[in-house]
Amino acid sequence: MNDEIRGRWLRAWGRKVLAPETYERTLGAAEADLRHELASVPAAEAKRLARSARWMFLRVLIGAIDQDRAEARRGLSWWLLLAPLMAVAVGALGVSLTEGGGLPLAQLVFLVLGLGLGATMAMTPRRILLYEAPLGGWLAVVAVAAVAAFGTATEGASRWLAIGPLMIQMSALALPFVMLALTSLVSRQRDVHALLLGVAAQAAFVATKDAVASLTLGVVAVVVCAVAGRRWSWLPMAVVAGAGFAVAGTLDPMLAPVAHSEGILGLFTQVSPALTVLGGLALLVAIAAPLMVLRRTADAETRGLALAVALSLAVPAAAATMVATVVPLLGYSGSTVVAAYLGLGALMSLSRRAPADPQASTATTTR
Amino acid sequence: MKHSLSPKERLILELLADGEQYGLALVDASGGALKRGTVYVTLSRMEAQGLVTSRHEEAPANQGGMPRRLYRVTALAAELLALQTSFANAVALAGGSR
Repeated sequence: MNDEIRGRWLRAWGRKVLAPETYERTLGAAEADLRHELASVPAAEAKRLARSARWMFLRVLIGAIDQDRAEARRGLSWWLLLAPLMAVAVGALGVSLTEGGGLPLAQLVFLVLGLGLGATMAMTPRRILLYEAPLGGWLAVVAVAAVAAFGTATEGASRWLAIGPLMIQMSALALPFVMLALTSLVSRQRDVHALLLGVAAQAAFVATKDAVASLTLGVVAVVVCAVAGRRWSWLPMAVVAGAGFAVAGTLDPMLAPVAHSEGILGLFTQVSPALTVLGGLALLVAIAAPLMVLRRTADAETRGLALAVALSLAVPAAAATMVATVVPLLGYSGSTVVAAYLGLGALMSLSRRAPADPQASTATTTR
Repeated sequence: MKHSLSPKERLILELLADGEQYGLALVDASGGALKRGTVYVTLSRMEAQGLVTSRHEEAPANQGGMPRRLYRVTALAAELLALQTSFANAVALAGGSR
């Protein structure tokens, strides 16, 4: 009878995503009590209880996750969310000055969206984030591929998804999810899975002709492998990255590698060189923030993601600088703002310092 | 450590006043006030707050094989419950004498 207790997968999932102590005190205690109860009641009653067990476990699991989330809010480095603000402000001011009119509403919408999603990501328990990261990475790749096939075409590239007045660049939004997935997989020594995801992501980015995303992913993948000590993983990653960038970069000279940002920046420098300098400084502040997290932790997953987030801001800027001039954090659409906050939010979750357990951030997730 | 007990926490402490209990026994004794799906999270939170402590029972071999978690009230929680009961009684008394 005990073997017929429903909700086995709920308990298995709970064991993966809950802190061990939380699991023991919630789902573990519930299962032990239920098994004793089933052994002591008549068969018909036991059968009914066993069948309804999944609902009991589901409610316990939801409550336990909520409890972990409440715990996860403590010890978060909220200052990380402030880091890109100056870059966002300078970028929005630049767009406003070059295009006329007030501050673009779309930039404000993306900023609010980015802050909200970043905070949500930050408050997601570290174990859930790392455990579900591969699924998130694959969904992101599928979304990019879908946009490549059905998205809004501009200058020959189908890279955007139009939702009302907002133009969402799916490859930019996908990048933090893919970065997190690679960090999770490589640290768990799932090298083949990581390589497959890297190849699929590169293929999707090439399909959208987004050379900057392709280059950023390549650099990030190599660095994440190197940080995790996966010596034999970074080489195939580098090959995939190089091939992806080469293909994406030669698809259409108009789109490689700066995309639409030189349109802003050409005007940006004409309007105010001082603003360009300020934008550059703001970008450096945003890049420095994740690197400060890198300095204070020995945890490989956190270190890998911290470098990945910093590189996801630095590589597009460096690529753009080679072709045009200093790039502000955001482009026309502002998808990069949301992407930056998603990355920073994930980094906040991974680097959380629990007041009661200073070693919590250095704990390794084992699965 | 918060300073007031919720009705559910108060009920659990009152039920545990007679001695150690496990989660489902508390649900049965509560007459429907506590639910099977929420009692464990409440107990876990109360334990984190220092209101209850728990230990594993020694599992009988033929009873499912998993040791149940038994909960009991801490001295701090007992004191808090007594204080809140005294306060509630005093308020009721004051209200009745007007």
